[in-house]
Amino acid sequence: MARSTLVLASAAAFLAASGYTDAFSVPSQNHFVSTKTKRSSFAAPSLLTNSIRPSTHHSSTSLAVLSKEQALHTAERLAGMSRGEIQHIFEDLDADGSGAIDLAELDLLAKYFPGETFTPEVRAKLMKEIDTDGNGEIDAEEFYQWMVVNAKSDGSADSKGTKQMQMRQARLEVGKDGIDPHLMELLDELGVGAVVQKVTHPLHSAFGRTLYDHFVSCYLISKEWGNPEVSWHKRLKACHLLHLNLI
Amino acid sequence: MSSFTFEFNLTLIFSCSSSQFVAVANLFHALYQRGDGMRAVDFTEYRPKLQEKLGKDVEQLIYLFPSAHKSALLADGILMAPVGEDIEVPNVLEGGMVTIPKELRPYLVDMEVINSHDQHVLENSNPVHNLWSFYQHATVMPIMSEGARESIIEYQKRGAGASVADVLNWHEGRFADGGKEIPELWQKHLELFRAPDGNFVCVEENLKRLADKDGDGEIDWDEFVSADFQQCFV
Repeated sequence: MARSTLVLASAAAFLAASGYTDAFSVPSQNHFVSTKTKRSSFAAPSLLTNSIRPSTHHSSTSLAVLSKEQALHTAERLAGMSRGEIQHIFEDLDADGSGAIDLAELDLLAKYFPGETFTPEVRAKLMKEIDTDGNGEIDAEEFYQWMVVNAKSDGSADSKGTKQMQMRQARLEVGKDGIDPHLMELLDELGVGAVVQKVTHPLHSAFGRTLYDHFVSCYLISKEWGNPEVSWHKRLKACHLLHLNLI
Repeated sequence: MSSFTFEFNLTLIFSCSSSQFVAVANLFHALYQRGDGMRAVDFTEYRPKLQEKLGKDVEQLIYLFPSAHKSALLADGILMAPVGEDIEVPNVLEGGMVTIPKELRPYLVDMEVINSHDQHVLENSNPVHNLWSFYQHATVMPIMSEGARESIIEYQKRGAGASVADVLNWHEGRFADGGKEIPELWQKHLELFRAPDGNFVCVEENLKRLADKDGDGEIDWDEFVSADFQQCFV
């Protein structure tokens, strides 16, 4: 696998604002000694709890519309890495194939952060931070939850794709307030919140998300993109067909 | 034209030109049936209810989406059939065939792109995957919304260096790795990438021969989108 180039960044602020901080091990400070000016974006949220709660950083109830899975989904897009890509990095670091990363193997993480200085002290602090159950090793889930919050793919930092991810965050912040209440009521009535998708493969980005999350996300994307541009007479004919049920 | 007819038409224009027309259809797009065949509700029971609550226009798109989606991998399906013509696809809800009129296709194309975009956009680190995503949508780019078109262009950019042969090898390899026979639908899809007669082989060859209009040995984006992909699907 081609090595990704990563930079330290943080989706933690977004996740904290979303109220979904329970699943994450969020550092209290940047343990890397950067050779550059320390990034202000690596600011840790000040409030962490063990329960999922609505945002206290937004005046609206907007982000409460997202499930924890959706918040993770969005964090992946902000990081520019999927769970699968993070898993690839984990497997690269797990040199002996034991299914866990020990302190010596953690050294290999440095090559993914070329802009950072990786001292033994930093390594020890990182181990303590990522190894949330304190068993002396980092398992795949611990690694994923640290990476999705603390790393950001640098390969396409200025690309349209990254901008789309940033726009997606802004779109999701519109959240529930952007959807007509009668549509939300209808979604609840239809029970789509209880349908968990088990599509294709566990590494598929839709896996584990509810149908509700997928529907809401698609609605918000569509609202942002607008209707396809069709001429007025074609649209009129389409409306005729649709309303008169001639199809 | 009677005054009654005139007023009726005005009502229809307002409904279908709403900025949320397709968005609302997207909010319920896979309700009647998902790609894996699962049905969240019984569509025979819920069609009248959704027609009442959302309007017949929006509900009709929701009704058509599962069939449109199922056809997406095929050369005569929602994404690859030449635009400007009605298409017939298998009706996955009721059996038989259902017609997707050319006037409705742009809306269903956008729904299909958004459905994929929400679930696949992150798998962008592999040029072969990206080229596959791009080729599937190339013929319908002219009828998409601008946002949808930009997302497909992004796939093309991130597919640089890959070829249709790579796409074929990737898919056949993943089925072989899984120890499974390739399903019939996928066999038909993969034939589109197989030399010498695959439709996308035709697209790739045309790009090499025709798209480099300024003759500099490279195909820039303007040259790329000016190529006529549809001739390979007629």
